[in-house]
Amino acid sequence: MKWKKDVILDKQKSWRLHLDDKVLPIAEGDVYLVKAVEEGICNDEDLVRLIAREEGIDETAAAFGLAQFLLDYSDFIAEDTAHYMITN
Amino acid sequence: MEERFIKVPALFQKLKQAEEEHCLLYIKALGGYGKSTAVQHYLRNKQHLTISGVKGFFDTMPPPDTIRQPVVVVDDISSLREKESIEYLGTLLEQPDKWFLLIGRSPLPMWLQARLSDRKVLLAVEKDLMWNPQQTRKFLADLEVEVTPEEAEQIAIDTVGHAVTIKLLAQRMREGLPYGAEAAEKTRIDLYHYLDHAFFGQWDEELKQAMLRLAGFDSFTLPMAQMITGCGNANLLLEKAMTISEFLQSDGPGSYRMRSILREYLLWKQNSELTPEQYNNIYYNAGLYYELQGDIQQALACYDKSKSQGKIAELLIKNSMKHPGNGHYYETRAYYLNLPKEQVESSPILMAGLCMLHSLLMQTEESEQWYEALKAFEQKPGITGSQRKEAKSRLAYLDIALPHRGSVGLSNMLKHVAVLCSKRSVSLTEFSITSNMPSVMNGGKDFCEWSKIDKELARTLKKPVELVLGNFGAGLVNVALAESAFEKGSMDAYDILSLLNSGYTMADTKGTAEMCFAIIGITTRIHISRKQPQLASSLLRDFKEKVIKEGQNHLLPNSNALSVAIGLFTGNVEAASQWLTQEAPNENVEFYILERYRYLVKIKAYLALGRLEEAASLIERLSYYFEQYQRNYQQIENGLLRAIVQYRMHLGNWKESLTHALQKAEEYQFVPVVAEYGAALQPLLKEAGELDLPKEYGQRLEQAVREFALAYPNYLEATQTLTEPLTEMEEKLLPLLCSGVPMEEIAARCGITYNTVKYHNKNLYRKLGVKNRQQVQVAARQLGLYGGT
Repeated sequence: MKWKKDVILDKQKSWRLHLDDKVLPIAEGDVYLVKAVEEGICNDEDLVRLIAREEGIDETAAAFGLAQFLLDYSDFIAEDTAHYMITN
Repeated sequence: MEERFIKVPALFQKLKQAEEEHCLLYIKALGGYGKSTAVQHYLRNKQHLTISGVKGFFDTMPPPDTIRQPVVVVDDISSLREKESIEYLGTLLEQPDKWFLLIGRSPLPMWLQARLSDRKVLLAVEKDLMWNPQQTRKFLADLEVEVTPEEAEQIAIDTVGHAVTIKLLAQRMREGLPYGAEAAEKTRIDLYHYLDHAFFGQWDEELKQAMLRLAGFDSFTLPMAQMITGCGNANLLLEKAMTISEFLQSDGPGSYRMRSILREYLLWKQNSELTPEQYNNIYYNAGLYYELQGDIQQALACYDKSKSQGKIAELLIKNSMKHPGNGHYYETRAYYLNLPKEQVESSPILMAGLCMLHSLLMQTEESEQWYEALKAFEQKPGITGSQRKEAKSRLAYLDIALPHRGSVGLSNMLKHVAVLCSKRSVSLTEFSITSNMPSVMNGGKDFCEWSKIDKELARTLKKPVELVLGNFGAGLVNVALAESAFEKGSMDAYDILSLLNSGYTMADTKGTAEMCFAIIGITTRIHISRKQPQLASSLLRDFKEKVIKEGQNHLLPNSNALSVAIGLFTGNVEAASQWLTQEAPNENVEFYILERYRYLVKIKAYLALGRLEEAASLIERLSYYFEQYQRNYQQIENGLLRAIVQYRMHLGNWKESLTHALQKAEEYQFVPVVAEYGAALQPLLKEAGELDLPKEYGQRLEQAVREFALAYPNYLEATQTLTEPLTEMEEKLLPLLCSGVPMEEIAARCGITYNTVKYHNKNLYRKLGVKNRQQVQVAARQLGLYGGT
């Protein structure tokens, strides 16, 4: 995942996302994930592994955790334009 | 005053015919129809011998060749049991010079049918003995009871022309009671006392007990009779009952039914013949029978009658485990809601059931109370490990599935559930994602917000969803992505259909029929958007055939509604009208949120039929639910429908409704949900002019609406139109009439005379198809000609 082009991450007092006139504070429990993204970890599988490690849960549960993160900050996340590979 | 004999012509005709043709006449009817009296009256001046089998045998059996009388009457043949008497009768019937009249209460016994197989037998039945209104009136008049012809007709109907009942009623009326509810009730009890000796008193004890026990049931099978009566030889008892009289009849292979008069009598008799314990036992056994048959509703009704609260709770729990989806809570709601509080509080399954039920009934406060109770139970010390696990599992299920909580934070709930599942702390009950809707995004919950990052979620959740949701997750992610892409136009149609087809394969082979239906629903919308409604129809038709073949009948109501919805694109308003009358749910009788899809189709059908008031009413009912339960997609649909209805009714705030709905659709970049209203929406968009929408989205929307309007130019067009257009003066008069302005004032305002107003009114009434001023307003609204308050 990556942020939309004009998203600004404000780390002054508490962490916040800014895009145009939208502002969204980052929940305390999500800060480590945002930091990871800032450090260049953008691949979903890597993020899932990070969540699993950080929270001491398996990767299935961690995937749902990542999904919730994506949903919570969806307005600030860039659209995935890559072709979706259909698998059974 | 003595009763005069009432001659019933139909029977006497048969008697005469049988006598003239010298053929055997069998008169068959329940007791109390006056069979014996009629025969004795007919033969009053003729020499005849009467023998009766009422005791089960003949008292006297004179040698046949010594009988001098030319006519022989054999009464109560249905009661004859003794072998010697039966043989005697057989020999008697061989006398060629005798005319025989047989009287009984049941079909001719088999042993007699065999003997008469080569003879002509005339049959007289109950309808040949029933008193008609004229005979009834005559009889009553003879007893100095005067009734009007209308009363006589009613009496004949209510008594089914039964002579004894009419006689009993006459006695009551002679005491001064007019015909009415009180007289009818007293006569009913008198008749029961008559039946005490005419029927009940003549049965053996085993038959009495069996019939008393079976009286509570409309119809029953042999196994059911065995279970309820406790008689291993119930088949013999039932056969005996059917030979004694026609009060018990076969209702189809292996099924029996009691005549209502006997059933009512026996139900009354239960009060004096059965103890409360015996009564409860009957229904308890019936409940067991129905439970074994899988008929939960009947089983619950019987356990309720037997006051078996424990069994009710047990069955609700069993049913909940068998059908974890939320449909059955509603069907069994009366029982859930009547459970004692302490009983519910001791069972995590019952608490979860009530929590879900209250949510389905839009009683969110009560739902949350039961959720908290369940949570407290789970944390209570002293409960067993399995109870704790059950409570945890039910809480996990409710966290995901409770309708009123929407889908905010749902993925976190799923994470929590996944953690619990991995620790084996819970076993998640299966549940339906789609709630039998033709959609995944707008199924059990609203997933519009998820469509904003659909591809990311699809990549992340594909495997986890299948792991956690089991069969109900098969194909889910592919289908959800396809639906989202279709709504946003973010993928090529081929890719969308590929996703759907792969999803269908998964759902069909290792998933559920509910998922298949959702896929069919989405696919039909794609075909319609590609101007192929026939393909959509045939796809749905094939699916319905599959559903019926596989016994997935719970999908039929929404499938049929989808058929209607597709038909509206091709102008099939007749099918919509028929569906409204015969199948559509009635929200005025009960409003049930799981019927939301059919309610929305109902609104579309109302629009197509010009029934704007009804459409408006249902829209507002749904609006409250859609908002409370965060159903974003359906808020868009409902908002568009509201705008169209308001526009057609000429109510001023349609623009606001339209803007609100379009802005919500824009939030998710959804186009088809709006565009499908094509021709119905175009006039609004034209008149609204500039709407507060981003330019690019607005242009896409406009283009899509135009395409739909071109492809389906008559979509939701009201079929109710004026047969003749209104003149200019009529158009001027109409709003004044509808607003209740007095005639003189109308004349003054329009600059015409009072009589001229009357003349124009007459024409208006004719064109609107109404008879008075009150109806004018309704008709004008329906046709969209008037929208004032």
